Amino acid sequence: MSNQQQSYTVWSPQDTVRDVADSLGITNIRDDVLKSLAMDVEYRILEIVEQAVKFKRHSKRDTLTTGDISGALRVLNVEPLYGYQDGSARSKSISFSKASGQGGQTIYFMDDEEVDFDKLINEPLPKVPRVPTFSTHWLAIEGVQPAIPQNPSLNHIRMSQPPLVRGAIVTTINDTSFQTSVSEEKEAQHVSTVKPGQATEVRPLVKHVLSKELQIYFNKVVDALTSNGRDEKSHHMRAAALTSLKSDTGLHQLVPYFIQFIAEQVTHNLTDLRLLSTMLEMIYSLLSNPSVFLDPYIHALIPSILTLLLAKKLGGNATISSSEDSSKENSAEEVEPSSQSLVKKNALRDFAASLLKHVLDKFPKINKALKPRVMRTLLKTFLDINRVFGTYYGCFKGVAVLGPESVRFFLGNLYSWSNIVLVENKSNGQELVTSRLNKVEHDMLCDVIIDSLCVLKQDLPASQTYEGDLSESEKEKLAKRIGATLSDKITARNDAKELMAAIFFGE
Amino acid sequence: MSQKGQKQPAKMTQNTTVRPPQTNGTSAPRTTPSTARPGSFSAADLNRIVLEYLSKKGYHRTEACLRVESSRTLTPQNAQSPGTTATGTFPAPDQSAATPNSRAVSNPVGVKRDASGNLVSQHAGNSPQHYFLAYSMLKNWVDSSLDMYKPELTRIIYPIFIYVFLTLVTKDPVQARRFFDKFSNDYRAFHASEINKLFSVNSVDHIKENELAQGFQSNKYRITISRTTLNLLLYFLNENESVGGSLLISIINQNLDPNIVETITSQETLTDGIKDVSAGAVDVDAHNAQPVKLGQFPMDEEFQKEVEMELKRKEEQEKLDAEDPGSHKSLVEEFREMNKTAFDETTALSEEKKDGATSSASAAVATAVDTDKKDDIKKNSNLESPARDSLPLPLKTAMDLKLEIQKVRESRDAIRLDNLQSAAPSVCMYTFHNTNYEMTSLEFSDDVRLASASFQDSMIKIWSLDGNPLNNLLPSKQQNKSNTANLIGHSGPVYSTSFSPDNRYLLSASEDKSVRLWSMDTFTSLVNYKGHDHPVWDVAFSPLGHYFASASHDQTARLWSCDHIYPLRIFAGHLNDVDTVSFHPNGTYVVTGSSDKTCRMWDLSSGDSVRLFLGHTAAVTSTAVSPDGRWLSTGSEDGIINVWDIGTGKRLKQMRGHGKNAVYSLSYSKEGNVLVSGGADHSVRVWDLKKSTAEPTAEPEQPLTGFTGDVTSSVNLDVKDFGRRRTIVPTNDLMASFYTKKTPIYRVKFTRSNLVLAGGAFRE
Repeated sequence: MSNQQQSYTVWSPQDTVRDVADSLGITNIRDDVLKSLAMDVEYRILEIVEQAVKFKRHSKRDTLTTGDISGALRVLNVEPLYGYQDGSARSKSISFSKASGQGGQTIYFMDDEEVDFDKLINEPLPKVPRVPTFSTHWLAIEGVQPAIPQNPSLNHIRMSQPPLVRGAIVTTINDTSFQTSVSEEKEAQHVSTVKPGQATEVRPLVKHVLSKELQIYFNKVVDALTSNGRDEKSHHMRAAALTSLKSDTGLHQLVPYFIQFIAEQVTHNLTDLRLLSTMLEMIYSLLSNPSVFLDPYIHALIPSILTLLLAKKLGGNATISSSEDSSKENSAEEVEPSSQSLVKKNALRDFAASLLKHVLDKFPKINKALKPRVMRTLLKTFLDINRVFGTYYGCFKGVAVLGPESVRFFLGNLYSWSNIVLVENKSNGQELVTSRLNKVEHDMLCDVIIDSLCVLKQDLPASQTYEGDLSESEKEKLAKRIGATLSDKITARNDAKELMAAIFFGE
Repeated sequence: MSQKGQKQPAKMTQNTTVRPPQTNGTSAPRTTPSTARPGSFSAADLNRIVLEYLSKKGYHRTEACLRVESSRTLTPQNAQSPGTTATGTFPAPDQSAATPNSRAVSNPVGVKRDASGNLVSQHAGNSPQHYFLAYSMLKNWVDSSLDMYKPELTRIIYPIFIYVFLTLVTKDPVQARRFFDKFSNDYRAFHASEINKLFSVNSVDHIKENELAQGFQSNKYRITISRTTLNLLLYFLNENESVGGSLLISIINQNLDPNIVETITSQETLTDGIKDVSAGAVDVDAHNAQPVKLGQFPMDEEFQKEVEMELKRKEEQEKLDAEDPGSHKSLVEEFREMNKTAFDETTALSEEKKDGATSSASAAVATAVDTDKKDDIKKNSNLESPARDSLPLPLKTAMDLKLEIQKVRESRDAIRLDNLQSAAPSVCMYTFHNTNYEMTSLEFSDDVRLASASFQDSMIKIWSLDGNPLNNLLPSKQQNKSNTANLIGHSGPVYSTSFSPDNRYLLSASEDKSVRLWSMDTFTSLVNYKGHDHPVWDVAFSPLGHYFASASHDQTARLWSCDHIYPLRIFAGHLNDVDTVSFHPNGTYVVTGSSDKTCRMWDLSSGDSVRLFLGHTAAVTSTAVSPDGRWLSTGSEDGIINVWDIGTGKRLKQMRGHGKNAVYSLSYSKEGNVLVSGGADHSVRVWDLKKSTAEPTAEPEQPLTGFTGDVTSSVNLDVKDFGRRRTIVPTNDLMASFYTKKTPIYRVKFTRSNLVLAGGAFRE
């Protein structure tokens, strides 16, 4: 027979059948017998694979394992092959080695690792695999997939898998898509320059799925809130926009955009105090809208609030002229005496702090995960002695909001902190105005610290009353705890005794 | 359709009887020198001269060799055949005439080989090479044919391919293999599973053992084809009769059962295929015409009253507690709405009973709307409710009452998804980690308090989803407050679990051929149900409780009741593994999906198959019936979801969009207008069921131009990057796709309050 009429199979070349026959002591088998046997073997193997695939399918895996094969064999009433236990195949692929034996025969064998028995016995036990657990997240909220770390980037999915595997990607909910023909085509052309497999650039996860009406609404609100006008009309518009955000239903689809907008405005316009306070009002409006489900977005909101709370420089600085975009109004602000602008800035920080408190109160579930993070940020700021007054101010405001247990947390470090930041100033120069803090700032800072210490009073039992002044020893004790400057201030207060008790409560 | 089918075969037989006797089979012209036309100095003439020379000189082996080789070259056409085509009949070689002829003149080598294989059939003398040539000729012709005929021709060429292959196997297995390897790729797209099954059929014995090959051989392949196309094909084959056309014509005559229609509709092609294998030797139309009762299962009247009483009581309490009464729909209203069809049914029935005698009493009850409804019901008998006594159920207890009230409450507070355009569902995803590829299935309980996952290592794990520790009633375990529990008892991989409607029990199906019932109070095994002879793939609790169904590798599904250890019904009829089983919402029918690419619906009371759903191109992996009991949706291994009307057994539509991977789970929303599906392509998809069906949609269909959203742009990009053939073009009812990071979705489930839960095992 010619070459092509040999066994056509890959699985069981005639040689294998001959080898098996040899091992059974049967020699001199005719070629056609071998051939038909080989073909039959192949058919049987396929039969087994067909059954094994069913086991694979019901295990919802995409790789066939040795376990599937033994399941198939059992189903076909054949004794399974032992020694190829499940799991051995998955970790590393089994490799076959080839060796030529005597008589030019090639022999195939499995590459088995040789294991030293002594070593195996004395070896520490392998690690126990981790227990199966589950985690929960929102895959979609009212038809929109939130951009959280648990959800993949659509672009990544699109690029990493061929469409036959991943299927079609469809994200529209309402048919009237935001992107109309022209812009969409442009976009499409733009996207298609990125071929699969090539380095991909990051693009927005969720494409616009907004109806035109919502779009217009969004633009109106944004215009109203960012307008610089000081006349009656723009005030009125701003108020109307905020009221709408507070009460309108059906804004849910816009929420991510609003949050994005807030974040952008906050990061880019740290000099514009009025805009910033508008942004805070906007956050407050969104928070108080009963028909907006903000839970998944709180994480994105918090950074904006914290920025406003802790920012190094808010509003135009009294000495350094602000950026070009500052118009006449801004320069008008500059003229204002610095203490007044300081009050304004601090008012903003106060607002941010109260907003933080509002968020934490309103979302107790998220609070659990959020509080430690906020706390960490604040603590870091607090322990960094190179910050400026505004940051410290906001920091203490924030701490006060977090509640007495957090304040206690800070209390431990207050002594050394005030030594460095407050007391040091005194010893350096005779007058209090130093390079870091001027007198006004210094006093304000002390006030806010004491305010936050006042939070501790909540811990005190309600029944007890505290009267009278502090004794000398108590003063000393207090000074050791919170620093001389602060203890002086406290002593001067008329609720000093109560405050003292609160600070040392539980000791 | 069946009428047409009956008419046409008659026509075909007529054709075959009119065959002109003068056509003598293919081998005649090439070996008989006399047929060559005088005057023209053709290849046949040359051959004849050389052959004569060789035989004169006594070079017998050379002569034989030449004969073999010359038989492979194309011989000129028989001058007689064109005349027959002109008569307008479809000439085909008369088998009875051709056989003796070809034997007499066939070359000796061919005869010997065929004879030694003792496989002499009517095709003896037609060497494998001829089939090769004939088939590739036909293939080329089909490929180059007009686009308007191509789809039909490609469909008819598939069975021809299979039959040529099977014929070749009996003749020369090696050639058959080569033939198969060469051409099978063309059919992988649509017939992958069949191709894979036939892949290694190498001998006559294999044909006998392989049920698919056997099915092809012992049955005719039914094919729906339009008259024009069939004529075209037959003309072509006739023209090229001597080049092998006759071989193919005989194959068509023997094995195909053409169903000739004027225009092809997709409905008709559904029944194409080998009759026996796919349809189980039943007339599908007749089979699907059996009456079914798809209405809601009527509730026990006393129980119903009790529930209403209780609901009223609750409501009064609520009114006392809450300050703003009237903001919600009342619980009783909601309950009435939930059981609306059942109520209508009872009023309708009572009216029929009384029938005029006491009509005044019932007339007071029945409003105009009700009478409308009743008319509808009468018109469509399929929507009747089953009789209460058709399914004996245990008595209701206080527990059931509590459950029913909870159901009503959740149903009232559900998120409305009436209008998909404005309100899309929210999906909560449960990702399971550290499963090491061992997790095989996942199930959520109806009250969303528990999740159960089954594992390859025979274990079942129960998790509490709400964070509370599981409450174990066993005194010894009571202080053990953990939020997981392990159920140990099976001795093989567990493939499926199912919670009872009251969430107090769990069923599990395992490779060890048994089904187990577990208590969710003590987390111990209660009963071991043995009966299946092979691994059990799936198990499902009846929505009414008490009964459950299992599906197994032994090609049967079985019905059990919790209090019997043997099956009550055995549903046999599938021709391959039964892979998935689910209950009809009224609890009196079971729907099964099988590896034989069909779904069936079975009647619990009789145990018979009452519906057969044909049309999937791969194994069925999931089934779900709509809450109103009228529609069935089935997902298959190739990522296609079909929606069927149960009443008629006809396919309503096909929904594409998943990757070419299994659809593991389907779930309907409470209103029945939204379907979510989860599959191996790591995505959860939301489908608008009412779109592109006859059903009225929630709002008028948007004009097509409005649909230029993300769908088309993303798909267009795919087409651009990967080519049209490698792109999945979604049907326009796919509303959204939500991807996970490497987590195949094992289970999706609409809770009673219309929130979607999805879950799967993360692939590290």
